[in-house]
Amino acid sequence: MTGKQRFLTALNGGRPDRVPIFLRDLTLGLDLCDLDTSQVSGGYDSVAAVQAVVASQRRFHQDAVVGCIHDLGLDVEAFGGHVEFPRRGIPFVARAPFADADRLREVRSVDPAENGRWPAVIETYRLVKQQLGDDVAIAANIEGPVTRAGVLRGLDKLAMDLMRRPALAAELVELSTTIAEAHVRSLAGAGADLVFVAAASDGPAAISPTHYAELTIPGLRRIVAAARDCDLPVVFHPHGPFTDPRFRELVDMALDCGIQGFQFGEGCDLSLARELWGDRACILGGPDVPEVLLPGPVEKVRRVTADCLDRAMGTGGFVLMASCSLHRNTPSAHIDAMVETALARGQYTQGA
Amino acid sequence: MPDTQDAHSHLAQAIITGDEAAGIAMSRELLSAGEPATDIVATMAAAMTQLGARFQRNEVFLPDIIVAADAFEQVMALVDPHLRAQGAVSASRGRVALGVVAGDIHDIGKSIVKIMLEAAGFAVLDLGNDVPATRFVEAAGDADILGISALMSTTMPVMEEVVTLLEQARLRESTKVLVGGAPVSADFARAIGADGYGADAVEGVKLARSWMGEGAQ
Repeated sequence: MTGKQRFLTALNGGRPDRVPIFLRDLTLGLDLCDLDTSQVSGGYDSVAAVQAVVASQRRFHQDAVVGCIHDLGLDVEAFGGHVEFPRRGIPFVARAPFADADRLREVRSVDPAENGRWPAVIETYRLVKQQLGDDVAIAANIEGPVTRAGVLRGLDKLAMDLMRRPALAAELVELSTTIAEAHVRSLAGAGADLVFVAAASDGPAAISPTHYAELTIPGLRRIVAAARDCDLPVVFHPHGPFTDPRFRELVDMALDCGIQGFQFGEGCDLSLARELWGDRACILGGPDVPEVLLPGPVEKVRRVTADCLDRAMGTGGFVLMASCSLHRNTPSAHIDAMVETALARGQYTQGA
Repeated sequence: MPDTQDAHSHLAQAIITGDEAAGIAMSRELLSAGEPATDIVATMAAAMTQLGARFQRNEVFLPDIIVAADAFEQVMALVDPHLRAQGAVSASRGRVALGVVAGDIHDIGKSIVKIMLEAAGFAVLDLGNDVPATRFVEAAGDADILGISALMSTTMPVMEEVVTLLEQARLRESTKVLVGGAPVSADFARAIGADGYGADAVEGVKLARSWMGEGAQ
């Protein structure tokens, strides 16, 4: 069974030979290749980015990868914002393009092929597909509706807009969703096998359930429709305590949009998630990044990973991830421990 | 005008709902009625504490905190001259220098901590974001507590650099180091030698108060 078959089998709710591994490492491969962030992400060097993605896939036995070195600022420069690229750090948005809301009127195009670093990013997906595509599932990493709006406006300003200028907030989310749809189409054309909606600011860790229902869900529905047009399944990853009884209906709303998988982040109970939604969707998740994978030690990583597997792997329909994306400066030894545990303990017994 | 008790209650409600216009109007009325500025700030502080507790329980969300903090700041701008006239500013609970580490500009968390600290009576020196370790150490000379925030795992090492530089400058014993931010954990705080870790603004303020010899409320 190839990694791609393994991942897609689990995403469809089935039982592969072992639990698939998908780290959604967005910049981690840069460490493995000793590459500068500024060198790769700054002008966007597709060849170096491919090298980093492939190195990470091979080192950590990943069954799915994001098909590029990704940062939150990929759309920012095209709309007039500014991104900083610390030499050994993670790119960050130093100036949000719509910090001045009047600049929204100046938007002309959301076509990724015309925007900033995106042509090189799309080329990276193509090259990764060429190198890994037969064996590994390629995920198109696309920000969620409110999450992208927060990047483009600045999250503090968007949070204020949600309360005091709701029409403006809705307009920003609308634009963000339109951009997401365009990215789905362009990355499907570059060979993506699935769409991963990365939505850190789309859940109750940031916004209220009301805003989630009014803004995130309609946007997610449109992203799923765009993915379906390209025959791609969708995994959704908002942040929040979704297994808390008060927020469970938010998961149901997302599942009703037609997603195939839901990644649960920090503060969620994976065994409960499996019990509640395992018959409707693939459950994705794993060790907590800030509490486990960053500080370690290795023994704790092994113990927590084993516990996650015991709680959630069941008889299939589960993908081991971290609680969120991984970035450079995450200790490789800790990730090795997570992966080794998964390879040893995540085997499905024949006929089970 | 409502009676004084009602006015305080309305002011608290204005802060909680982020209604800055109502907050300013109610504060003006209270000041006109001769209410001490310190009592007005105490009402707002209690409202922010209540809201922070509800945030911890996932009963309110980031936008609620942001608008409440904005209303608090706007009312504080009105009240501040009266506090100074009362001589209340110098009687602060302690001095905190607060900033987001170099390479990081995510300052929502830091801004909320600042508001909560001010609401709790601390004098806060806001160092801003993208602050180099050396700047934190410079500020330590005028602060009881250094509040250091990082929102990205890659910028967390700056926190350890601050602790090291404080030791080299012989300021470590006179300065408490409080760290926080999404990727930061209690284990990380212990590992770098920080004095404490605030999982959120409320926890951070509780720690700061306990260090200044007060029970957390």
